[in-house]
Amino acid sequence: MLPGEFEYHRAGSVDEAIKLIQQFGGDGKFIAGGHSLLPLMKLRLAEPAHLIDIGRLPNMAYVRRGNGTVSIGALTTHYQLEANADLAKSVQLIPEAAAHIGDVQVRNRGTVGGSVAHADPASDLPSVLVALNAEFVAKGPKGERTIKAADFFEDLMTTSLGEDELLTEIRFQAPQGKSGSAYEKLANKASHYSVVGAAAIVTLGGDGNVQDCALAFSGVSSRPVRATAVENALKGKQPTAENIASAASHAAEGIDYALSDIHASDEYRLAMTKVYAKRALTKAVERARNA
Amino acid sequence: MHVNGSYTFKADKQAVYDLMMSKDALAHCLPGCENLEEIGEDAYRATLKIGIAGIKGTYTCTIRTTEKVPLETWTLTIEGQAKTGNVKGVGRFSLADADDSTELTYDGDADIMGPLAGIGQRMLAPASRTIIGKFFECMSGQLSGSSQ
Repeated sequence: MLPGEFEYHRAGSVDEAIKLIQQFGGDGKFIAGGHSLLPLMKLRLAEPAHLIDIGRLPNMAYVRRGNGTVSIGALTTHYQLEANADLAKSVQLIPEAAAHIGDVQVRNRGTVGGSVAHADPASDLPSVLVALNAEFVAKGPKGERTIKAADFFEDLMTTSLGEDELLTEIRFQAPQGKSGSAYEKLANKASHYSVVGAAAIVTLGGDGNVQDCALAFSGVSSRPVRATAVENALKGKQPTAENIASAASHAAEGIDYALSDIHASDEYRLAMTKVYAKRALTKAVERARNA
Repeated sequence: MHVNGSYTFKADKQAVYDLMMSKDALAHCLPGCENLEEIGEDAYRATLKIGIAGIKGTYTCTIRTTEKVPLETWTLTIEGQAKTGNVKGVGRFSLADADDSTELTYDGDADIMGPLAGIGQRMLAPASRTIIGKFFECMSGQLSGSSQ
């Protein structure tokens, strides 16, 4: 299948990319790895008149750490996250979630910035970044601003990024102390998109109790959802199998809208949130104990 | 695809009914409406640019209101054609009094054909929910605008 006609522009810098998108307004679209946008263009579901290629902008693919803050450049590929040895030790859920995305080709070309800016509700990294309380750095004609994860994902394929803003970096505090994290996913067998993906982070206190925890889901609703009822039920408790199961039973609370399609009904999705919450939390606790 | 839901307007039945039958309000609030022309009694032809984010289709639509029971209920039929697929939706609307407000409920079915139905299937239900939500929000805005 072939895409509709479009004009191709390659930006040499972030500023040039922003100038170009300002020039074309709603007719322009940024392209990085192209693994979300190009399939839509080939089906003619998206027909941007101008593509602004940011894929070759220098110095935007990196994972850095300083003062406990991890910064990830928007052009970092899924494979680079999957293969990052530092993240594999301290923020396990990122490489784990990245390894679940599509297939090898998709992971080699697709970028973290492209994936989150596209905001497909079934993609994996958005829930991971929501669980991590990440911040999104956006650059536009008026300068730079930082958007909190809770405000970033607004709805189905809709973020709070302005039409003329470019996502440049994602950053978050690496979990401290005796912490562990995990991403557990029920994938559609054909597309590998998540039916339910659970991102969990657990920090244990000196007494072995759960000092802090975070849980968020992909694939369940039109945007990533945080499971605060589960978090509150587990905080301060001993992370026994019983307590985890009891906390996970609250997983569907607060989800006011669940997706329903030929792959999974809303009822099934909500039931699976409990199962995958339990699995992700159990794994995160195990890793926290060994941290 | 089954579509249903409700929306509460802070106004009485008469105002909500008049609003829903108003050509100007429809032209203003139908998503991406580029023109709305009357082609008969309670029938319109419109060009709508509907979509989410970058995925937009331009639909040439006919919109008909039938089985009207003033202040109570009516049926809306929308048939649209676009490059990405055809859409036919039939929805039954009804109004009910609530405290100081009017509750509009809708219940209908939409049939989608073409590429949109195949690959877009996963996104259709949440996308329609968002689009319908925006439509009612806009209609509600029209109401508060006109009462001032």
